[in-house]
Amino acid sequence: MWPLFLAWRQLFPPGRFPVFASVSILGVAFGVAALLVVQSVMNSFGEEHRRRVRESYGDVVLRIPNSTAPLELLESPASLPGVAAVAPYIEGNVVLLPDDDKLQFLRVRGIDPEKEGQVTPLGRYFASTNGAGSLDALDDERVIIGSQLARTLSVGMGDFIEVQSVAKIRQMFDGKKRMPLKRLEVCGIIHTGFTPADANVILITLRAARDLFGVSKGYAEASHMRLVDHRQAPAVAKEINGNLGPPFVALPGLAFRAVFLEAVEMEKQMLFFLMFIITLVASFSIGSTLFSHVVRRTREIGLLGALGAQSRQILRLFLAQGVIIGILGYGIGTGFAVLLLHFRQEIVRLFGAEETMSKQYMFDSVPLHYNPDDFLKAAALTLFLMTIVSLLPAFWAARRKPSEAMRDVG
Amino acid sequence: MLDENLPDGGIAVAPPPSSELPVLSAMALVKSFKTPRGALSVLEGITLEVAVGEFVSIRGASGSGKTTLLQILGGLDQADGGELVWNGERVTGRDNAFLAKLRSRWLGYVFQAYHLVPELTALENVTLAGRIAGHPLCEITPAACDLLERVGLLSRAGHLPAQLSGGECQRVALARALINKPRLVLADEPTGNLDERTGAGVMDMLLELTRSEGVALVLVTHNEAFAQRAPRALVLANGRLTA
Ligand SMILES: Nc1ncnc2c1ncn2[C@@H]1O[C@H](COP(=O)(O)OP(=O)(O)OP(=O)(O)O)[C@@H](O)[C@H]1O
Ligand SMILES: [Mg+2]
Repeated sequence: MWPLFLAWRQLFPPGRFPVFASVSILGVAFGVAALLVVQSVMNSFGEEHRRRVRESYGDVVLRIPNSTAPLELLESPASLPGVAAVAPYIEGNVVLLPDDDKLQFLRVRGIDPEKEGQVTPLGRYFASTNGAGSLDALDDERVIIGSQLARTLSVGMGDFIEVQSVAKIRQMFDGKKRMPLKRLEVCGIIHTGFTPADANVILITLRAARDLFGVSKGYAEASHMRLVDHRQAPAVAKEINGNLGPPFVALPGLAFRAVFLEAVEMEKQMLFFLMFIITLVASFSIGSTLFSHVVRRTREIGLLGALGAQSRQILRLFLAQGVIIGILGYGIGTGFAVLLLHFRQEIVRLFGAEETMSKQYMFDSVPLHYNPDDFLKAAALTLFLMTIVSLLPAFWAARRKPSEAMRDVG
Repeated sequence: MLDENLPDGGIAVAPPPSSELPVLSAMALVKSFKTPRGALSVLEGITLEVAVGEFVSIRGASGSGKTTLLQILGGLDQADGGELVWNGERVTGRDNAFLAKLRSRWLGYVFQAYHLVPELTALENVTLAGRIAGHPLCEITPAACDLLERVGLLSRAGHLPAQLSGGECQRVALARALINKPRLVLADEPTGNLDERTGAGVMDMLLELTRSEGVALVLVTHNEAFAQRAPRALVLANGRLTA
């Protein structure tokens, strides 16, 4: 027990400011904080991207590629255990003609307002600061649009937009007949905070979409579903594929953005690797401070030997100092990281980076998802590195001959 | 071979430390150091026996090898040749771990430069020696307080070495040397850093403590008067001890 006691005292000598300990502990703490902040932010981006993708695609998507399908089949997974809700939809490209002469191509989605609300958390997004209206107000003559799209088009609640499907415009050019534009009143503006959604979403009813895209009654293009546990998506998709068989295809929602999500995950791993290298460099500089801290105590090492201390106890004495620095540094570093992450929004604002955030990372606020694994990884790494760098001076100390150590003039 | 006189059926494993055995006996110890200019022979056949409770002083010119001799006698360094026996147990050639263990149990050291641990209080410096010898803190603390009282420093028990004078530090070191109830104290110029009056005080204390506890003392000193207080005053010169 005495090596631990003495280790603590040598790090925190009574009546004196613990210069060596504070500098080393802060060094570890900053390293740990940097590692945790980077990992948590990257993890949050990944987690947030996955959530958004799940929210816009649903946990599982069922469809016949390049075709429509009868509603009763599209909605059949509703009876499966683990499936919480199913909603059919029709998607298609439209031309949008605002009052000025800008022409826009957009993808609209026709939904069943009642069922859609069960699958995606649409209802939530009307309530936010930039949102308005509600899902219930949607009928065949009305439309719900994303907040950024509303801004680009300069339309608000109660304004009208005019659209026509690309297919029907083609028919018009072929000279078949005149196709009047479809006038829709804006009855809802949603703000998700996820740029791709806010800039592109146009929601109409399933019936209006059938009209626009020429889909028969009782048919839709696809259905998507919410699961009780979204992690079951691959299993449920497999089960549906087994039940319905070709030409039906069921896919987890995440699969639609797999490449993108992999890139995000890859980015996190690369950053971890970079941080690891930086931490390694920092550890060695702490190691060298530790070494001079030990060398300065050569005479004390000799004394302990004279008093009968065993080599392994001397080893433990200095190893313990490295480990104590590691543990305290990790604790304080975690505190720093949590503090920094708590004020992340303010920090981003301080650097005037909000605009870039929304453009590059597609969020207008910095999301936060802690991952316990990141913290465990950082703890293991800190302890490992501090043990390694203190082993060297500790071994050096343990191998001193007391007779020579006591003659040391330092 | 059975011996009727031995109490446990005649199997003599390790002789119990008996009062007849000398606490320390050294035979023909030889030591030389390698230097860039060849070997420097420091000890050239030291033979010394210290009986239980005996007080031996050693004088010698600076560089004559007194510190080297004490380090070898205390097992901090190994002789190149000769034999060393502690309490009847031959320790020549034993490994460091074994020597360290024995050293902590029955040997006390006092050094010229006190060698207190600067981060520990007077009391903690004394108890540290006890803890190294394997005694639990709660057991050793009363004994440490008792010793500090006997060296007149109980009221300073919570002070750090930096807050104590040289003489006071050395008195703490005396208490530390005695905390494990050693059978032998090796003192290397314990008054070398102190003025005459303080030195005399420390010396009185050292002699009083060792005598009252029946602890043998080997004292290395430059001070003629202190050396003459020993019943057996030796001189180290040319690598040999002479009376
Ligand atoms: N590790 C070593 N390597 C080389 N020479 C050494 C070593 N240790 C001691 N010596 C030499 O051995 C001789 C004896 O040293 P020692 O310290 O024992 O003398 P001393 O009698 O204690 O002297 P002092 O009275 O000044 O303390 C000295 O000449 C010293 O230079
Ligand atoms: Mg000396």
